[in-house]
Amino acid sequence: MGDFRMPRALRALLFASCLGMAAPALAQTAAFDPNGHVVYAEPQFTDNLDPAFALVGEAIWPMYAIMDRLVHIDERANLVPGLALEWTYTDDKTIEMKLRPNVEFQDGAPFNAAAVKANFDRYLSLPNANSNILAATNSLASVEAIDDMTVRFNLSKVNYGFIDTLALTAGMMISPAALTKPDIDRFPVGAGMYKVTEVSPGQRIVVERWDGYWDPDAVKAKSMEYRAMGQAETRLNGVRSGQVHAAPIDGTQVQTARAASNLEVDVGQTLNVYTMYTNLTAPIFQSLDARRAIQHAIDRRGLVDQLQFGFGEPTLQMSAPGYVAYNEAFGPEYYEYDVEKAKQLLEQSGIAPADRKFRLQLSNRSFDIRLGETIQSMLSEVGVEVTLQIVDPVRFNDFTQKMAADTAIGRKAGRTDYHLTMVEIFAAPEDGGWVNPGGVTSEAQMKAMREAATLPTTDPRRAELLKEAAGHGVEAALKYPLFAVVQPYARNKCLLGFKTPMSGGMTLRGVGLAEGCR
Amino acid sequence: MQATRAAGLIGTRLLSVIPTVLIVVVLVFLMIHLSPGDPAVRAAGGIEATPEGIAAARERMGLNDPLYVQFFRWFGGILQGDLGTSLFNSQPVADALLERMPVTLSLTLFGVGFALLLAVPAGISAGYWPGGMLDRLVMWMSAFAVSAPSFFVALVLIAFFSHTLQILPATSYVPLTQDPGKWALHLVMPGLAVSLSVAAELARHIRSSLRDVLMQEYIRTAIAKGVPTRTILLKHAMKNAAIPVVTVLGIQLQKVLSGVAVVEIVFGINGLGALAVQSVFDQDYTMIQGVVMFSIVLVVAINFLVDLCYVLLNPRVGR
Repeated sequence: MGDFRMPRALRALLFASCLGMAAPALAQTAAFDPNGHVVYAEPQFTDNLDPAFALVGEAIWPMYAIMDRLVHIDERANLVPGLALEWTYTDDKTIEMKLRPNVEFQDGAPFNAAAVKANFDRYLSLPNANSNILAATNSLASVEAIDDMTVRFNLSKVNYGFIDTLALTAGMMISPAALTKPDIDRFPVGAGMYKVTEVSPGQRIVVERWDGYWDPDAVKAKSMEYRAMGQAETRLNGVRSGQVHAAPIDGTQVQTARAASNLEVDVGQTLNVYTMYTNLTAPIFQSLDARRAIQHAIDRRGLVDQLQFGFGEPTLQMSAPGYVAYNEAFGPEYYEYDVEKAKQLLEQSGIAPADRKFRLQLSNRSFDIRLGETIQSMLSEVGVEVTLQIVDPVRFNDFTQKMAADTAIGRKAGRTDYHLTMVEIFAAPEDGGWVNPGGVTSEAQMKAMREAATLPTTDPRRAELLKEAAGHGVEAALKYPLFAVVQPYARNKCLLGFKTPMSGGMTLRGVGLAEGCR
Repeated sequence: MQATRAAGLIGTRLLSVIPTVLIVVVLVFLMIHLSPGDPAVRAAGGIEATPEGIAAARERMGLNDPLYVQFFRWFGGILQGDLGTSLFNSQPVADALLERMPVTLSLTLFGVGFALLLAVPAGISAGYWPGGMLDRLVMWMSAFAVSAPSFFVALVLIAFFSHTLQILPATSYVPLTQDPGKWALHLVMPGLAVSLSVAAELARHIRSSLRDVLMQEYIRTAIAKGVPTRTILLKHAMKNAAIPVVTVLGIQLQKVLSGVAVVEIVFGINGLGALAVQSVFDQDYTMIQGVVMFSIVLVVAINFLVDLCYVLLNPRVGR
């Protein structure tokens, strides 16, 4: 549990008297405290730690600490070796993977090809596992152990994004002996940096260092506590008073956080994009001019500045500038905010005034409502009537499955495999486009995506094809990405090694407390 | 004799409470299950849930059964002491309640404790010197305390004691068994936030109740006979003045228990209130129902205690 700290003046006096100098800000080069207990807060963590049934719509970061994955994601969203050292497509439906030797699970069992096979056999036997597992098993026929440290994944269909699924829950390996434990959802036995010691669903998850981890440099703390704190204000209060060492905060709180002397604010670009998804069968979207008119009517910079307090990156694509698959030729200026141009396009669109309207589904979260109302106001200026339908967040599927609205606002978590993100957004439902009700697609875009799918993720031509696909999507104004989320974190200056992730979530690898801090 | 009266009172109360509990339980069950939203969607992956996944989750959770079947299945479990398990993990509801109960009870204890510490001297002072400066000050401050929302008080306390003075922690709870000192330290601000409106109500009632009692002839007789003021107040007046105050305290206690959710959330304390709020957001039906059942039992228990105190304070009750 985070400790309460004595008054700042007294602490500084003691420190100065011990070292004969004023209390300095701690640099990242300070030594780690091997007995440090790191506390990290998020609004909510998954209650279920079983990779097959974890609630992947919520933070699964504690699972990264407990169960190491075959593939890791670095802070720039690149796939790097984890429990797997290397992987090769021997043909377009077969992957051979070399495993990391001399790795043990937390119960002493060896990590090897048989263990990988056991895990995937389990996943394949669970048709109702979560979407992360299904993203892997939907194209997986079988897994073979070729030798002790080599596995072969036999795919049921071509899927060059398969490796990306192994960077999430599908790649989390559990000790074979523990796969049938009844409490696998609370005390899974992995090969990760930390072992789970306490689970209080909805409250906290506590893990302690496991000295058998294959990468000791990644394990800097004696223990970690993942604490659920729903309110951003509460999280910031926790960091300010020293009970929490790091937590995501809202853009509105950055100024307050920066004013606190014991805090730093780290800001991370993410692949999460707030988007207005569309059902292109709605009357207003039948005209390219009308779709482009709506693009010009939305002031994306205004949305970021007014609603996110500047913490966001306007974008017309499902990623942000700087990302490998971002097409620089289609920046936000491609559809610059221009009310007069929007009105002109709408007039020449041929869409009857009575049809210049659509229904917009929003979740009942306050930010989503503000965003929706702002867009409604912007579009009314150009003569487009937007009717808001506010629903509980879990009813997002009213849009995707029941087409209860023409558009919906959502925050899309970008996949490390950009191709997968593009498929989810732009492909027809039968091809995996789960956020494209109505199934209207652009043939040029689909062609580029199909070609990209035939190439390994490491092939640079793949990124170029995905850029091309992104460009086609922007030209055809198929969807309305609004801005990429820039996530600020409040961090206690005592916390070292903290890195903001672009994708995949917070692993807390190499994170610990500086010596002399509590 | 008094014990017999108390036992009879309790027995009568129990019989009258059962139908109330049943009606509340059925109403809450219906409200939860008929409200929009589907917990199976969250269980199947939230916004990325597939129709097949949702259907399977509904089957697994027993949500496809008719409502009356679901109700009797759950209620049958209650009668056997089984409150069920969370819809989203394997945690028994009873375990979740037991885990969080000490947190909320600690917060309530501090809240009521602070309320009494503030209200009793304030109420007595105001009641004993009516119309004076102290009386006016107490009335003015209690008006403010009653109208200030607890979350507002909480945020002000945090800003002052935690951020500015840095002498009290802003979040979290430390169990008593882990560290009694930190347990108390972490409950000071939340307890104060909870206590202010309670203290205000109590002070006003103590004041008016004491004033009424002090106007009685037997008090004037005692004064005329030269009985010390302290004895008059503590031995004669307060006992009678306490009777209506006990009722108010019971009502305030129930108000505290229902209002701690906001304070728990502001301070990041994972008590029953926070559990109730989160369960509603998650649509964790069994957890909501368990919390409601527990709350009913708690309210009934508090009412019993109030009635028992009545009997002890006023021998005429129950005759």
